[in-house]
Amino acid sequence: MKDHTPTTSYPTKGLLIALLLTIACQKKELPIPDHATTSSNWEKIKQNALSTHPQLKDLLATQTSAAYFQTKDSTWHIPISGTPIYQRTKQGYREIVIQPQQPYQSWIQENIPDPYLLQSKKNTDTYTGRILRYNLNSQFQHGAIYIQDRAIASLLPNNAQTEQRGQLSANPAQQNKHSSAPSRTMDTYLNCYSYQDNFVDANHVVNIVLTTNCYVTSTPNGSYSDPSVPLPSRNDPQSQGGGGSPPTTIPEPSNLPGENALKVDPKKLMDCFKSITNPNAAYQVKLLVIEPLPGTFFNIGPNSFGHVALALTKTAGDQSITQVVGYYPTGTGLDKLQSPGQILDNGGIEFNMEASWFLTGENFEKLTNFIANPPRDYDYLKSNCATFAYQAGQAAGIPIPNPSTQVGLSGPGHIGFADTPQGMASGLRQMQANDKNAPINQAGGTAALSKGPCNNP
Amino acid sequence: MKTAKRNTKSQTQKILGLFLLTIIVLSNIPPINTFLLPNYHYQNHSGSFQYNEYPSKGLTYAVGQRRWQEYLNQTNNPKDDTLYRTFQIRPWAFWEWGQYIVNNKRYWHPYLEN
Repeated sequence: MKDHTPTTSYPTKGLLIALLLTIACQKKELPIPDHATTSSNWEKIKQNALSTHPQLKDLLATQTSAAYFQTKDSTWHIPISGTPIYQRTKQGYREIVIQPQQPYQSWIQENIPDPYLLQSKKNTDTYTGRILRYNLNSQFQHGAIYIQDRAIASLLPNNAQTEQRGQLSANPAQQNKHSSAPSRTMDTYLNCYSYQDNFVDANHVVNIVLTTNCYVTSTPNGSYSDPSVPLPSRNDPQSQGGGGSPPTTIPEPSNLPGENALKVDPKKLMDCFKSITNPNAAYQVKLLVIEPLPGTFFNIGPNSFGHVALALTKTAGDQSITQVVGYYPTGTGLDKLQSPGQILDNGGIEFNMEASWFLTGENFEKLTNFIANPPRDYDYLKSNCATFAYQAGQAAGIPIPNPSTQVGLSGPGHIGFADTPQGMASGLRQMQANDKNAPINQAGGTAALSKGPCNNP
Repeated sequence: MKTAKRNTKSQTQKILGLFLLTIIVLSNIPPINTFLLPNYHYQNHSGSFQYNEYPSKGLTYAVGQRRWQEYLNQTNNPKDDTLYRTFQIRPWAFWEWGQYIVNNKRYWHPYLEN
């Protein structure tokens, strides 16, 4: 009799994992934590930490960026160099965590966000993935697997397996090692199983860990509870396998260390203009266009699809602030066509067409409000850099031309129309044809550098 | 008969070679390379300056250099005045071969593992 149990061959599994990991390489821009505190606070915490744990000095020397931040649970996170390897792929990031409250503690933490979830749910505010905790001598202590901020499994060094078994057997509610039959506590049925897993930490040390996963399958009165409800709570030290140690900290979701340093917060960019308080300030906006093939009607050329950016300037007396911004996708590869959008600093770009307008203070504020809250999703046809500039113009009453133009063949099944940089350039040319005094420069040039983000109150 | 076979084989090789050449050329020119090129990221050692190229949308290597010079002028920190690339050189990535010729300056930066 033939066995019809579906099986997956090793090459197929390998291909699936490779595909999954490739997809997971997409970058996800994440918000800079709002509760970052001042550098003076950080210096104080740092000095205290160094006096308590001198070995931190060497670790802090490997800090990857000047960025550090404080999370909601008041712990300080400092990104350091090194990337753990899990499933034969470098992923996640490493940081020092300092807990300034009593009991005062510092530890090294490796965070491996779940790549599949990051890919499929781009805007999740919760953390899903593995968190591995080491002492300051880089010895693995314990960790946990989280799904949407909830611990669903604890990770222990493999040499702690015996101890863990002892703990589990002492608790009749739990069974160890691939248990399949649910056992019963006072009010719940639990199903626990353990398995060995391994990863290579950032110091290239292979760690074999015992993963214990427990979940509720039913309640004694016969009603079935949600089987995904995990037993370990992230606030329960026992569930961390740490035997009374403080809970592992949930970091802000992120893909790579230093990534936030590249992120531009459009609100902070626009906030800079508030530092000029003169009521008689002059406001100017420039529309900068990079055509795909300058001077032609092609939508594709040496400059790829082209680009459109906005340069905003506020001037009062000898004070002047300029911010140059553009709208981009966050995705990589083919996800550049459709993915969450982002604002990037466009200071210093070279353009080949420019139009400029002077605005009233009221309209300038409308413009900065629009840029501070950009559209959420980028779409290469209908919500791209050209669309963004056009909509910004609409919001602030600036006669920025409609960039919609015909692309490909129109009709059923075809793309038809799209907003393109070339469409924007054609609109500007048309504008100049209608009015020779229109403030349009077709000679091109280089944009001014942006002032960058400000932290105004 | 033998000559005919040899001609057929030679013709197949030519077609295959032409096909591969077409793939290589197409993958090296816009807009296809927009989707294939990696994230060219640069930073100084401390990470206080960082720049990501997005050449197809204005953020070219030249823009990065302009910003780096401005950063150096503003900070005047001689201890951290080297700009590193954090991407690796991958000779096998045929879709980058054009970049090695046209935009080779970016590969001369020292490598810093991120």
